Amino acid sequence: MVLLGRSGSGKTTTLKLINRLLTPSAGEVRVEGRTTREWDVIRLRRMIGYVIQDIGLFPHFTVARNIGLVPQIENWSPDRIHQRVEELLELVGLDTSLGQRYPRELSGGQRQRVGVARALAADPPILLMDEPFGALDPITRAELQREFLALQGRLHKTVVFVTHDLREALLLGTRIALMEDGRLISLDTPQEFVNSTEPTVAAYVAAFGTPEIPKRANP
Amino acid sequence: MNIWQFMLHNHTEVLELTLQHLWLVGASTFFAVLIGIPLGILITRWPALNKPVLGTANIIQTIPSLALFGFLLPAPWIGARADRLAILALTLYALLPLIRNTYTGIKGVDRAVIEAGRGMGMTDRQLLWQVELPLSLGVIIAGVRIAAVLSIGLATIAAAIGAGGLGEYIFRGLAMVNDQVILAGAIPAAALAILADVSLGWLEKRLAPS
Repeated sequence: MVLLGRSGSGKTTTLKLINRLLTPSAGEVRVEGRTTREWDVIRLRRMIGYVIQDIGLFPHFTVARNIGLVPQIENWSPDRIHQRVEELLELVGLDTSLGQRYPRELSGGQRQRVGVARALAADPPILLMDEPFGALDPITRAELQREFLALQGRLHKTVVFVTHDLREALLLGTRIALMEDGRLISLDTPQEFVNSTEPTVAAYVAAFGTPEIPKRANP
Repeated sequence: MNIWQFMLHNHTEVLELTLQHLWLVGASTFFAVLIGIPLGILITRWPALNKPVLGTANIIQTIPSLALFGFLLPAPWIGARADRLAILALTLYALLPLIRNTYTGIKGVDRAVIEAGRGMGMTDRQLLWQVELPLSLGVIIAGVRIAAVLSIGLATIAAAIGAGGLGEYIFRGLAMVNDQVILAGAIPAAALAILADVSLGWLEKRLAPS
């Protein structure tokens, strides 16, 4: 599921309503059938992986400690954390020797991979990603998008992915929700989206030069 | 007799007054850390307390030190001994830099880092101990450094109320119109201040996250 829309359209706000970094002023958000208000907020957040554009890696923690953060606050044994961290580093395509480095010693792409690994650490059923590849150069970005697709093909998480990039939305999304001024304009499959006659959707598609729907390795 | 000969001749007294001075500064800085850092943390959690707390600490700073020593004189238990009184006054003066630096240090931690931590389900306590305090430690130590250097200078005035310390020589020298006696207090006090500044500055650099 991709939340698409221009800056200020309410994509990030929607995402933060899901892990209750924000509480709704009206209405309710349900996660696994329960409203976010009913959830114990700490439990709720620990079952939802969260990746943000600025990554937010802890600069004073090593990569391994960053990735093992949720397991650590969930009181896993050190052995199990260590094992999990190595597993995750491999999963996101990083050398396990990077575990002992600090975030500042990594490239942007590596840092973003660590961010994804950290979000996956406790194997949460839900993943929220807020423009995770936004700050990367186009080549690294394409690389991470491909890897992410392959990863998702294996893990089958519920992912809510925020982006303003239509091409990214078409590549990664099974459903695309277009937002504008805090409202949901449409909810379509990529195919329906590019063929839509809804004026806002059509304008968005036109702004990107009516792109093709990319072929996906894992439909 | 020059200043060095004077100090050498009276070395036991110089040493005694220096130790007294260190006691006044050490005890007051210790109490100020104990009170100021938690207060600084508190006002990051309760923004409504921000103005009253920093305002009060600010006002205390504006009271002339000699007057503050005088004001505290009638206080029970505290007023009974000059060194208690001096330590209380010095503690009050040292609070402002500690509260302010703790507050600005924590507030200065990268928003994205805090957001990521909260989003991953860290409790407020975990966030404070594992993220906010380690990342603001450099700024907090800078506050301790300012407070300590400030106290070393201010503690010379404590001699006026009989609390001892290197101010003894300064006041005595003033009364005797004798520069050497004044310098016998001023030089060790300045040396202490430089020592505290350099060593805490070193600590600050080591602890600041690069």
